[in-house]
Amino acid sequence: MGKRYIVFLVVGAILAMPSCNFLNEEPHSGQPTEAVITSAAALRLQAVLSLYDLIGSDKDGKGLQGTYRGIYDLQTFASNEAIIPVRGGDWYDGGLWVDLHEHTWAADNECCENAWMYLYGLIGRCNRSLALIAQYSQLLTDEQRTAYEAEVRAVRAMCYTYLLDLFARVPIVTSTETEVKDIAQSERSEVFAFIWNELQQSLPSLPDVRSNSRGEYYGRVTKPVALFLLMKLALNAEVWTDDDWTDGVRPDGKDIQLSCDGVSLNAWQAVVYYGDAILNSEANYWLCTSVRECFAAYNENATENIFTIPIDPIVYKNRFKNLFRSLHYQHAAALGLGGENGSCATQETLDVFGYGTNKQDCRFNLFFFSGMVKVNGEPLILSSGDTLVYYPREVQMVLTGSPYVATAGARMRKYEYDPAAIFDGQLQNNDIVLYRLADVYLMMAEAKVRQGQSGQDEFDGVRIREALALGVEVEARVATLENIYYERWIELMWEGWHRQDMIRFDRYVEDATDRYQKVFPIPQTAIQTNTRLQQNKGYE
Amino acid sequence: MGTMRGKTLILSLLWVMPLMAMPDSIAVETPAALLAAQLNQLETLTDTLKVETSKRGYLVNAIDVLSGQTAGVTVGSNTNPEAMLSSVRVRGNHSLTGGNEPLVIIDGMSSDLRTLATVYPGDIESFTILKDAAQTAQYGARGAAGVIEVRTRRGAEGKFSISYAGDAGFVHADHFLPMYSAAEYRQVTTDRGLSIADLGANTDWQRAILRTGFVQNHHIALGGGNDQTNYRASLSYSQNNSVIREMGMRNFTAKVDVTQYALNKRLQFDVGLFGAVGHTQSINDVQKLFYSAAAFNPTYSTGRNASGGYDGYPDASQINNPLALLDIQKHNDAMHFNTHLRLTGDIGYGLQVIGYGSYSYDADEDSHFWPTYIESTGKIYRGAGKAHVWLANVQLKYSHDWNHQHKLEAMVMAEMQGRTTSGFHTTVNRLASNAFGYNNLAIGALRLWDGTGSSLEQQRMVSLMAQVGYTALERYSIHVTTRGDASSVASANHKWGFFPSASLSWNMKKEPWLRDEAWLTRLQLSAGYGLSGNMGGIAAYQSLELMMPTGSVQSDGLPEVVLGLTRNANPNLTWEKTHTANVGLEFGVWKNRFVFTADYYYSHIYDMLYSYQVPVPPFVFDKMLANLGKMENQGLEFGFGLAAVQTKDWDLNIGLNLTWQANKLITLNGWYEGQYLTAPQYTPIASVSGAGLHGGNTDVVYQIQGQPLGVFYLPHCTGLVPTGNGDYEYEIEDLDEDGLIDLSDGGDRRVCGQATPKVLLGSNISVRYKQFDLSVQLNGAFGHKIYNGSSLSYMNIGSLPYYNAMRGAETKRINDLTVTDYWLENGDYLNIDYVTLGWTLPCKEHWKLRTLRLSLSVNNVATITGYSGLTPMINSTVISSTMGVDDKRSYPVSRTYSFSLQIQF
Repeated sequence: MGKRYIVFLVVGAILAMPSCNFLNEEPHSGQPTEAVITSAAALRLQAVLSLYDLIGSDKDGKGLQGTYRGIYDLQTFASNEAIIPVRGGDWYDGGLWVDLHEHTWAADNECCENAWMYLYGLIGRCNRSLALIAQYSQLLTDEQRTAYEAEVRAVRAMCYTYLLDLFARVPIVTSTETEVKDIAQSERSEVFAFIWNELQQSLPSLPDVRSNSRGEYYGRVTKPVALFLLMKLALNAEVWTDDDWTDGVRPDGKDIQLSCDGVSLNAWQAVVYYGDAILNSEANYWLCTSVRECFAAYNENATENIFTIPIDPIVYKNRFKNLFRSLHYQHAAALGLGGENGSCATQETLDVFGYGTNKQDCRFNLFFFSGMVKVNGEPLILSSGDTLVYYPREVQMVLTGSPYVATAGARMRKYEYDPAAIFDGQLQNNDIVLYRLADVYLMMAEAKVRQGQSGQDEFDGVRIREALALGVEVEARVATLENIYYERWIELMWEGWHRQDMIRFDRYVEDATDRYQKVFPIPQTAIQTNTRLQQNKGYE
Repeated sequence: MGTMRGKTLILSLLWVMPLMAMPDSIAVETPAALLAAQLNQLETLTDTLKVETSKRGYLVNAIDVLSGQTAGVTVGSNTNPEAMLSSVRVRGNHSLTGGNEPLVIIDGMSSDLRTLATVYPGDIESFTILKDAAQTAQYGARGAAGVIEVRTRRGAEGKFSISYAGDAGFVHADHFLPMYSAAEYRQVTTDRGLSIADLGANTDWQRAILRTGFVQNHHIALGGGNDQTNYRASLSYSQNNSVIREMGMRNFTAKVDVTQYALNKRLQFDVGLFGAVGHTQSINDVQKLFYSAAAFNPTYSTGRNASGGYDGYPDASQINNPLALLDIQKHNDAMHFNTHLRLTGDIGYGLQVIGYGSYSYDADEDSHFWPTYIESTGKIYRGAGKAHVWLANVQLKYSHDWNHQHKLEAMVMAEMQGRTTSGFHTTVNRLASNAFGYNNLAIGALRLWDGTGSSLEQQRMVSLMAQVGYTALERYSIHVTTRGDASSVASANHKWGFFPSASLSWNMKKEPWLRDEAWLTRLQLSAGYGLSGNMGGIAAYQSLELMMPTGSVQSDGLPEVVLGLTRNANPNLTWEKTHTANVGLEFGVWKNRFVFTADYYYSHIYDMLYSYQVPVPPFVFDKMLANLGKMENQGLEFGFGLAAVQTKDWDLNIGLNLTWQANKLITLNGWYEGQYLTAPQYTPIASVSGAGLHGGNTDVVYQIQGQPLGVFYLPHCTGLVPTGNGDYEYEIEDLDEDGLIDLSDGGDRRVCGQATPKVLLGSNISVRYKQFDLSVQLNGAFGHKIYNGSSLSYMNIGSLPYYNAMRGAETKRINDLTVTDYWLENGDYLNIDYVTLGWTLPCKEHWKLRTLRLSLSVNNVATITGYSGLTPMINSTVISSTMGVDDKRSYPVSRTYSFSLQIQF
């Protein structure tokens, strides 16, 4: 009896053990969406504001700017504005920087991979945000819903603008439900039209307020930011609506009709139209007295900045992480920063600034360290016992074996070196400047000249501003297209615009066979994981 | 009783045969008794390794015992030498996503390698290695990557006994990289016209970070019992001060086991308690330390500077003053406690019921400190983690034997397991002083948002199992197991997996036509097949879409935390499955004085769990844990044992095991929710890093579909060619003959060898002359390659003057850091693991003293290899960023000299 009882007990226990609930997962340190989004405020935070955690980054290859091996490096080192020379044991890095400078990159280029992953990752989050807003729309007023959707769509359009610029023929994905088999590339002109349309639709619901200053909209995409994007789109419309960038012909900006707030304008008119909109914005922009104010340690109040990546160690994860990699180790150390002794001005940049001539642009010393540098009035003594002197003209792609291996090249000094920086300068107080008014003026000048008008006022406003501030003479220049090109090169040095400008001014490649280099290859992993994607011309 | 087991590793028995006293065995077994005991177990089919630590060289921990002892088991070194953690692989890598560590069962308790490492080797009686699916069926999914069953020593009926075992020794590093001395560095840089930072000193940094290591172990055990109760208790203390200054570990353990019988021995209670407390001081960044020790400017002095730190050399940004690096503290305090209770009841009719429960608790605390002169403004990290694991199972067993004609065994089992892990950590920066170390977090002025966090995770498993074994005429046996495993980690509709297995064995020696062949002691054939599931190494909640804090933004001027998804959730996550088939032969002659075993296995893994590269878009993240790929493993394992001499005064035993193993990654492509996902053809696993080697085409070891896991895929260097200024560079072959040199994946690269050894060898030779014995262990690995990334960097003359170079660089004059097969070398080696010389006092029956043994050992005696780097014993098995690449992170080669004493009353 007793024995049987035990047998039954055991068998019963065995059968009773696996109850269903026991195997259900109950998460603790992560929570499902429905547990989090319980109010309009929570929805706003998690669907809209959360996207701004991703504009900058503390991770390599992520963010619109701020860390390395991503968008910024493609825009900067594939242009002839700056270079990271091979410095002996430093900076060979498997040929990465040589490839960028000499346009010998392949589809597995790390910067391309990173830029693609980052931009589509952010687009995916935008799509999810839109899905969340739709799913929890009962929490919102109609006004709130419109405003949130407009902002998310504008952020998404911004991401597509970078994709359009870098990779041209890219898939447009607007839903979280899209499957791999439905991912298909659109022609470049279609991508352009999509972005234009998205921004047009968002624009009325975006607040016309400053984004670069502390307050409710700090770091966010507001109306002026979207206007700036529309200007960039219109300015580059000849390039970005050209479905074959290898044939040497492209549409004429005067023939490209763009719908601007319901009015059809050609590309150049559109640039001026939206430039005026920024100038007339209630956010009230004007040029700073000196360009230095834009890049000062505390640049939140710079009247000129339109869109920045806020850097604040308490609030944001965003960092200035290996963005410029420019200063000599000892120079950086003396400033309390981490140095990488990498990037510097190219010979072409030195020429454009008139370096060493009697016509040297007064901004050269604002944007570069050259010659002997002093920190706190003292020259820097290198470990070898020599004094640190930068030799701008000694720069070349491979410096290995050169006596100037560590000292060749003029170094980046555009951003004020913040004495209160921490983490080797990764956390400075300077916000990273993405869009600013000087660019708006130069875009307007260019658009006016391109349609046969004078852009002299806009051009001069930027060009002589620093000379006025410094009280030095400045050579008068006519606002020709060529001069505008050089002015953009000088004024926007280190800001990641030069590749776009070179392409628009047709100076990016010399040989017709190299035209394919005007867009980067669709990254190798993107193609391997989605074989429907077609590689860009020239990289097949 | 013979359950469904593999085959006995008779070799180990032979090694054990020249039996001196076991260090603290309560029942000292005579060689004959042990032999008989082992022979009786020959029905059972497993690799059992009797642990006889007295015969071994200095043991850093219990895992070390396994090294080279049995075919198919690879013990990696150097995973974390301070913590004495070694990687263990049973029959290679089974999975791409973790789940490759064998399950460790200590006295029936689920455990892991880390806990095993804390058990004092002298407390272990035997290891049993279960390798194929039929053998591991008993443990189901938990045993997917093989099982190491550990049986610890316990009390025995008999008189009270107490024993002490201890050893002490020193460790001396004597093999270094031939970097330029300060004088040579001055000369070579002068010859090349380079100006250097010459601070006047002559420092050998590789030696400056060293000390003479010191090791000691002490172990006291006592036990006794009667026919109702027996017990054993032991305490141990181990200390290992590594040859690297400041680094080392200490560990204290306590263990108590009690067995109590009741109801005329029809009821048996086993209770065990085990606790360990350890402290480890590890190198913060192994590669950075050894890279710095090799390449840091040798003209710097070893002294501290005026501000209490060390002078750096900012021009060499990838390295630092090695002594400054030693000031980084990376300490770990670990506490482990477990207890188990087993109740075995004999309820008659051949039925036995077993109830078993165990609970273990692990607590870990990490304390890291970076002084201000190393990490900009200084940093402290403190983190603590806890794990609670409980397991309960009930078994009902039946066995009946009909006159040795028919024997039936059957078992049903149900098991539940729960695991809760939690942790928190915090980081502070901007330290006001270095004097506080990590002891007061308030010394830091900044606490950034992402420096603090905590987590809680729960996993649960349920298993049901039924097993039937039938043996006819003591010769033909068949065992069939079916089991269902369910894991909470799998997605809602895929929790359960069903895993059958079966094995057959034929004991030919018992056949009438062989029974009388006296010379033949044993001849047995066996075969098995099984399907098993694996979900090891998978974190919980992977199938759920969860929002986690991802950052912080400002909202209306105030900081707000934002939440987001952090990975692609997979709502179809399920079991990885492995089909395994194996055949084996065991053969022994002349009373097993010569034995031979052979095994062949083949396993096919499908629905392989892996963090697959998925297309972005539409996915938001580029990786997703899914079940797509396929992989296969096969291997041939041989064991030989020979008791060449067995006389009163002399014994000579030779044991040898040889493993051939092959692995192939068949595909990583597959269907996911109706979408065919394709994986990149080439996925880098390991690369070289260092100055001038950041990204770009610096990948070396890859995972390539259709190839073994971990192959070298490199450009081919046809020789050195002048660069034009007197230096040389690597000439690279245009393998695809397209007129261009393309170093990227898919370009001018080719597969040129594998990182994992094809053949592994372990051999033990022991000699006894009267009371003296000598034992030598040899381990070898063959058929694999090593990428000498250290030489790539150190032989690059272009690294001068900021990074020191290696002797010979000035004559080769290579000024190139391109990764090619130029530095790919054969990795074959034969290592003399240890030599032990011992003497045992011949104790008389009536003495109070039962055992006294003294021995001297040398560990890591020598390595025979053609490999030109520091050591060929790098990570060649574990799929990680160090696999197959010797990249400036090898420890200086050291030997341990130790003395040990064992005494028992």
